[in-house]
This record gives sequence, C-alpha cells and structure tokens, in this order.
Amino acid sequence: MSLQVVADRQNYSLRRNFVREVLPEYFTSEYPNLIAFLEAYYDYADSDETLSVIDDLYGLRDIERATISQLDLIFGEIASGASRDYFADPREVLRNFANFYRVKGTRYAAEGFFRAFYSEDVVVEFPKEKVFLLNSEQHTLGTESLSVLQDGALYQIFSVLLKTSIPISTWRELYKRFVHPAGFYLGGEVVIEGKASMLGTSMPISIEDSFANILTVEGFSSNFAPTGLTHTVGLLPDGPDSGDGADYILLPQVISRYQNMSAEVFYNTYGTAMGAIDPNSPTFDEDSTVGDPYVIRMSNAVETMDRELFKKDSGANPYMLDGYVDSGYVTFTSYY
Amino acid sequence: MATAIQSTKLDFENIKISLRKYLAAKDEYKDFNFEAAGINNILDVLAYNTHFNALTANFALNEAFLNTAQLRSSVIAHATTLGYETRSRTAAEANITMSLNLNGVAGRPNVVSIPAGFSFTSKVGEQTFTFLTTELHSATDDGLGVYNFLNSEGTTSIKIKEGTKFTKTFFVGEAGERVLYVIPDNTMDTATASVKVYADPASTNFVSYSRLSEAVSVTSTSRYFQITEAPNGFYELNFGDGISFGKSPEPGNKIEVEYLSVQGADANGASTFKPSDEILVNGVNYPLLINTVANSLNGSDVQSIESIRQNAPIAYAAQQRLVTAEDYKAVILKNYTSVLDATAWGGEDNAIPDYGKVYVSLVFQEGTLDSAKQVIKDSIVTNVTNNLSIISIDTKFADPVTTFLELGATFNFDPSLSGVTEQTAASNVMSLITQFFTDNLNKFGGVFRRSNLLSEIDNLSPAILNSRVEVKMQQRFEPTLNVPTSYDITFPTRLAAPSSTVPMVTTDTFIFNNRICQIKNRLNSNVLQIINSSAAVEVDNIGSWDETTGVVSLVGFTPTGITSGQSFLKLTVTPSNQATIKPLRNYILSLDTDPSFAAANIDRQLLSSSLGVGVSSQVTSSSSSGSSSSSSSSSGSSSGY
Repeated sequence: MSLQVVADRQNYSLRRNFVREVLPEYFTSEYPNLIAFLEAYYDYADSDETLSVIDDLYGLRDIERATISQLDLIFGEIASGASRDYFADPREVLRNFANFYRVKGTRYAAEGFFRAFYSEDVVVEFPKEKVFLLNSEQHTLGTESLSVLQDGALYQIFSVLLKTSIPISTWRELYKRFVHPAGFYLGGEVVIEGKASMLGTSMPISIEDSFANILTVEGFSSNFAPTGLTHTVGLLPDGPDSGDGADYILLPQVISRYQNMSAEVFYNTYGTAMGAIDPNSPTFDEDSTVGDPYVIRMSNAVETMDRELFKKDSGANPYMLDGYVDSGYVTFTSYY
Repeated sequence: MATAIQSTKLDFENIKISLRKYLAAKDEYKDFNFEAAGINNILDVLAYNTHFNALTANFALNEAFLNTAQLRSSVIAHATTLGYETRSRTAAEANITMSLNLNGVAGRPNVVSIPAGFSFTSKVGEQTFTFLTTELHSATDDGLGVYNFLNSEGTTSIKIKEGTKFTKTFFVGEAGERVLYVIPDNTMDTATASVKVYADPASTNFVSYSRLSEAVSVTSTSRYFQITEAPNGFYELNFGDGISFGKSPEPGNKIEVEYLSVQGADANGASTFKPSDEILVNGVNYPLLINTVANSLNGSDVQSIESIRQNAPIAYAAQQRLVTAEDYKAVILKNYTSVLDATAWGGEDNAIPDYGKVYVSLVFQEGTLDSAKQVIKDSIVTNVTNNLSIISIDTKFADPVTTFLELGATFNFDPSLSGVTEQTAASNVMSLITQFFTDNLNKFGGVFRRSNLLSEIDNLSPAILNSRVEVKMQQRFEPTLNVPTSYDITFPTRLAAPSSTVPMVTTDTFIFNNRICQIKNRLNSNVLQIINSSAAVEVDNIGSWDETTGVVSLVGFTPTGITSGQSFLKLTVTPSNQATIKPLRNYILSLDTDPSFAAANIDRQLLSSSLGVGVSSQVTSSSSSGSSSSSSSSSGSSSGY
C-alpha cells in the first residue's frame, strides 16, 4: 500500500501497510501466506467504504480537500445558514467568509456579496448625495443640477441604492441577512444590458421589475452610436460569407425610400418586406444581376448605405469599403 | 442538531462477510475454507479491527464539526475557534433597599457603610440561598437617625447576587510553556471573577487584571485574562503571552481569583431577604431593615450544548459589531441571560418606516418585573448598541405581540388498527399539537406550516388514516369599558375574504346594552356588527377589516363588561392562507388551547351503503397542564377530506 499524496500538499493515508515491518522478519520466509493474507486485508481496507472515513480524517477541515458533505458542515458553522449551492466556487467563498463578515455594511461587502452569491457586479450608490441641500454649491435649482427632494424613502440620509442586473426580489433577503446595515432604506435598480435586434424595432428599451420596490430602469445597448456618428447602426456578427469581421447596417430605415419602386421590382429585389430591412438580402452580387436594371448596385439610387455611412477605402475607389471582396459580399472591419 | 453515526455500516458481522467475500474473490484465496477454525479466527480479529477503526473514525468525524459533535468538550472547542465564549452558570440577582434606624442613639455616626460581600439568606421552596452585596454601600444620617443606603449611582435600589464567594490561589512557576490555571469548580459564575496578581506570596500589593472581552486596545503590556470552560467542565484561567493578548504574570507571582459559586436558575424567585448580621454601631448591634424591590431573577444554568451550537455561528457572523439586524439578536442573546429570545429589524422594515433606527423585541424570563425589563433595555442601549452599532443608528424597543392560533384538527380513525379508543387518540393528537407548538413556535421567527403538523399527526398511529386542520388566528385586546373607543388590531398576515356562509371575523362574548353580545362580520361584507345572543343586530356597523393589511378596526366600541371575566377580548379571524402563517417582526405564534380541539371520526375502511354517518370523538385541551375534556357524538361527519 502506498502513501497517498494529494497535489503535493498533504499526506493523508492513515493505513499504510506495515505488515512486513511490524511482524518479525522470519515471518516473511516462514509464513508467507500469513503475510500475503494480511496484505490482502489491507487492500480490502483500502477498497471498503466502511474505512474510507479514516482517510477523510486528515482533510475534514481542509477546505480544499473536504468532501461536499463536509463542506456543508463547515458552511453550517461559519456561513450563517447560506448553502454552498449558492456559490459557483464554495471553497473560495469559505476562504473569504471571515473577511466578508468583518466588512459587512460596507461597499466592499456589497460588491463581494454580489460577486460571491450571483457572480454579478453591483454599483453601490448613496442617494443622499442627490438630495437637494440649501446653500450647497452642488445642489442648484433647475433640472441640470439633477438634485431631488427628500422623499422619506430612497432619497434621504439613511439610504443605499444598489444597481445590478438581478431583480431585488431575488437577493433582498440574503443581502439583508449578510450585508445590509439595519435602519437603512434598501433601494434596488435593475440595470438592463440589451443587444439590439437586427430588425431594429425590438431594442429593449426597458424591462420592468414588478417586484422591485423602487423602479428606475435604464436601457443600454452596446451598439448605439459613438461620438460623431449621426446614424444608428446595427452590428451583425460575422456570417458565413467569405470575408472576416462583423457587418454594420443602418437601423432606422423608413419605408418611404421604397415608394417609387414597383411591386415587381421590390419583390425581385427583396422578396418580402422583412427582406428590405435585412441587410444581407441585397448581396451586391453583380455577376448574378447582369441585365437587370433594377437590381442593387453599388451606385444604385435607392440603396446608398455605402455612400452615406462608411468611409471610402481610397480616393480612386470612393464607394468601396474596408474588406470589400470581389465576390460581391461586403464586410467591414471598421465603420467610422 | 447533531447527526447520528450510521452504525449499521459498521456492524461486525457485515464487515466480516464483506471481508470474506473480498478475499474469496481473489485467485490466491479462492480455494480457502474460510469457515475453518484458524482462518475464521483471523477473520474475526481483522473484522473487529476494522469495526473498531471505523467506529473510532466515525466518532472523530462527528466530533470534528460543531453541528455534529456529541461531546460538550468538542462543541465548546469549536465554539472557541469561532471566538465564542460559552456561558457559565450565572448568579440570580435581586434588588432591595437597606435602611438603618438609629433614632435616639447618642453619638451616632454621620455615615454608616456596609462592605461588599455582606450576606442575606432567602428561601425558594425548601432550598435556602445566600445573596451578597456586590459593592460598598453607604448611608448618611437624614437628621432623624434614619440611614438609607445608596448604590454607586446614588439611588436606593441595591443589587444583591446569589452565591458564595471563593478564592483560588495560584503560584506562577518557572518560565516556559504557556500555562493554564484550572479552577476546579463547575459552579463558577465567570462574570463575577476578579483577578489580582501579587509580586510574591508575601506581598500585599497587587495589580488587577481585566477581562479580555472588555479590552479596547491590547499591547504587550496590557493586563488581561480570559476564563473559559475546560473539557471536564471546570474553568481555566489564561493570560496573554506578552505579545498577542498582553502581559502574563511572571515567575514568583501569586495569582488570586475571586468568584461566586452559584446555584443558577434554582435561585430565581427569591422574594424575602434576611440579613445575616446586624450593624454594629458604637458597640451595639442594630437590625438592618430590608425591602424587596425586585425578586431574584436572571440566574441561569451553564449554557446548553444546543444553545452553544445555535449561537456560536451567529455570534461569529456578528463579529462583535451591530450592522445587520441579525447581529443585534446575536449580541444581545450572548450577553443577557435573562433574555430568552430576541429579534431585531431595521426601521426600513417597520410597519411605519423609521429610518436610522433598529427595533429590538425581547422575551424575558417569566416573572421578570417591568422595572427589571427596563433596566436590561437600558443596559443594552448603554453597554451594547451605543458602543457596537453604526454611529447615528438608534435602538428602539418593541414589545412582543402574541398571535394565538386556534386549531381544529379532525382525523379519520380506524379503531381496529389500534389498541386505544378514539377519545385517547384524540387526546394524543391534542398533546402532539401542543408539543408541536412547544418545539417549533412560541418564539420569534417561528413559522406555522400546516403540512408539517399534518405529517406528524398522520405518523402518530397507523390507526390515523388521514387528517385535516382548520386554522384561525386570534389577537387579544383590552377594551376600555363604558367609554367609546376605537381600536386597530393588526394581524401578522393577510386575512381571508368575506364569505357568504360563515363569518370570518368574530370575538368572544361581552356585555353591550345589558345583553350578551359578540362581534361578527356581516356575511359577504367587511362590515362588522354587534350581534346579541338572540342573533339580533345591536350595532350594524362597529367597524371593518382590511384583508390586505390584516388590520381589524373597531370604531366607538363601548362594551360594559367581558363575560369571560378576563380583562381582554379575543378577536378571531381566518387567515387568507391557512397552510403557512409566517409572522413578521415581533409577532410570536402560540396555541390557544381553549378553542382548539382534536376530533376523531370513526373510519373502519369498509365500503358503506350510507354516507356521512360515523362516530366522532372530540378532545379539547383547556390548559397547558394537559387537562382535557372529551365528548362523543354519533352524528359526526367524516366527509370532506
């Protein structure tokens, strides 16, 4: 039986086979069967779960080595009833629980709470900073000051506002048990991070948290216009075309731009109304459109997105875009 | 709650069979006769070896965790690693006034003093206890020869503690290993201990050491001591090592520990205190006059294992600071033995939000006088919350509010499956319900879950085939007689909507317009009426109830008497959700045994040609002492569940 070592950090076998060392030396030659029998017994002891608990003894309180059921018992001692099921990495959480308790009530604790319990970031704000104060330079009259009157709830001195993507009903009770300073109003704000739909019409402007006691909703989109761009564009993940990189499209299309196009031409070009706002529908594939005067071309009078939005790749080829390929597909590596 | 070792896995015979199978499966032993005497003996030895090893390992495993340890010493050791000091016995305390009348005594002194340790005797039942003063008390001649002794705060209420004073002396030996000084007394009240260190055995000058738990800062020269419970139940005194927790006594020093050996909870309730001595003035003894201000209370036995198991993790989470509401509960329960239960909630969760406040509600030992309760509350504010809470957060106290539950339990009972009668079965069910409340409710945060109770009833006997419990809530209020008064009575949960068949709100009876009346709601309405015993309406609208807020309002209610003879009226309502009643804040759920009952319906599990015919037997419990009455009826219905 060999000495077992766990990741070079602990020797933990309590049942090393010392049969040959303990018994008189002549037993080995005189009673080989007995020696073999006893060694077989130790093999049995190693394999039987009845005695596996002996192996556990060394690592009972070792957070890295304790079994799941032993971790539960450690959680019972130091985690105030929180189950390990809450945590993606319960061992890491156990290592930091004491520190967590020491800083309860602080911004650090609030941030740690959301990272540990929900793997989320949180923004901690103190609404008292927005409460209008007389004779304060920071609080002037007018909408620009963004000051609010004390309302006896969120906007008063004893108040904390947490902004996270999780509804307050999910975390309120746990947060109050572990972190929240009693006596303070607890405000929750659901922060929505949404990506624009390629249809351009279903951008998540706001999502109501019907359980929140305070509802202030903000909408964010990772694809809204950066400085200097006057049009809202959408971002298409790289598709199965021949080029690399994402595709950018103009989102606020208006149907009036197609008003002079005949139904036949519209059908031939887009197939459906949905196709008209699908940027991949017009393929700019000149090879397949020879002889068709209505098909979209780079100089087409209707579809001019290339001209309006995107930079030229050179003065000699003013309407080409970065990543233009001769097959007719267009990809973009930059859009501004 | 500790877990139990699964001893069936450690059974000797099973281990031996398992070992034999293992060996027989190996090629080299497949032809062995394991039943032969020699090899069988070896197998016995090896199986016993396995058995004892596994058993010992399981013991060790269980003792390794606070929640599973069985030994008190293990539980205390785990609690200590969490920084939790377990509680020793505590002395009962009483408050008295002491005075001396020297009127007419020539040459009487201006001031008379009584030293700390002056003793009194008192009896509780047949047992006699000794109580001691805890400080020097002085009294000044009021001009007429009357001396009223004062405490250190200048008031006449003198605190005396039960116990006998003991002194244990140690001599510090050679420097070396860190030394623990064991005080061989398991009756010690550690809170009464004082430690003095003398330079040598003959010295009369000493240096006092303080408790480490009271330390504000610790340096290598600070003089602090700790007293903790030893594995054998005695107490051990230890000091710093000159580095981490302050200075340790030096070789050659003498250490004196003075403490009270106390009887704990047995000494609670003492009401008459007799001085052991008279006061000697100018060579003549004069009697000390004693009046009892508050009977003795706060005496407690050594902290139980379960209490340590429950409170050590909470105290660890609190880290001796008051931030979350749970912290308030943990620290108060740790420091005040006379507080049996505590709860706290932030002002933001109060019925009327009150930011910057934390509300605390306490349950005291039975018999605690209001004045004593106030002393404890003041102490909590002065010594605990003012020092440990977030600055600017104030503490407010709210009395516990008891909401009584009235349970009507009915169950189908097959007498052929049991040796007891249906009356006995009903009585057993009633006892079970009472025990259920004792075990799970009657405390802050106790939630009534009907399905849990039903499971216990169903498991009580195979003869109980199925069961059902109807739940009502009851709040008590003391009406002002003969004066029109309005009341808002708040329940801890939502209330049921009005019904077209039965009233949802009722009271017990009272006298109104010289008639016996009660309040009921108008059917299908939230309006409350006063109905007399002839079912005639005396007042058509005496108030209403709000299902959502759980508030029952009475307007201008003017009873002239209460027929029960009590000072309160019971107001009974039906909760919107009878399956779960979860009290908030300072509400405590308790059982009102008077209207509660358990009733058996005979069900012989035979197909019957008639419906709804059976025999029922009902038992109600009229007091917590277990007295019960029963009645039988041949027309009880067993249908409906």
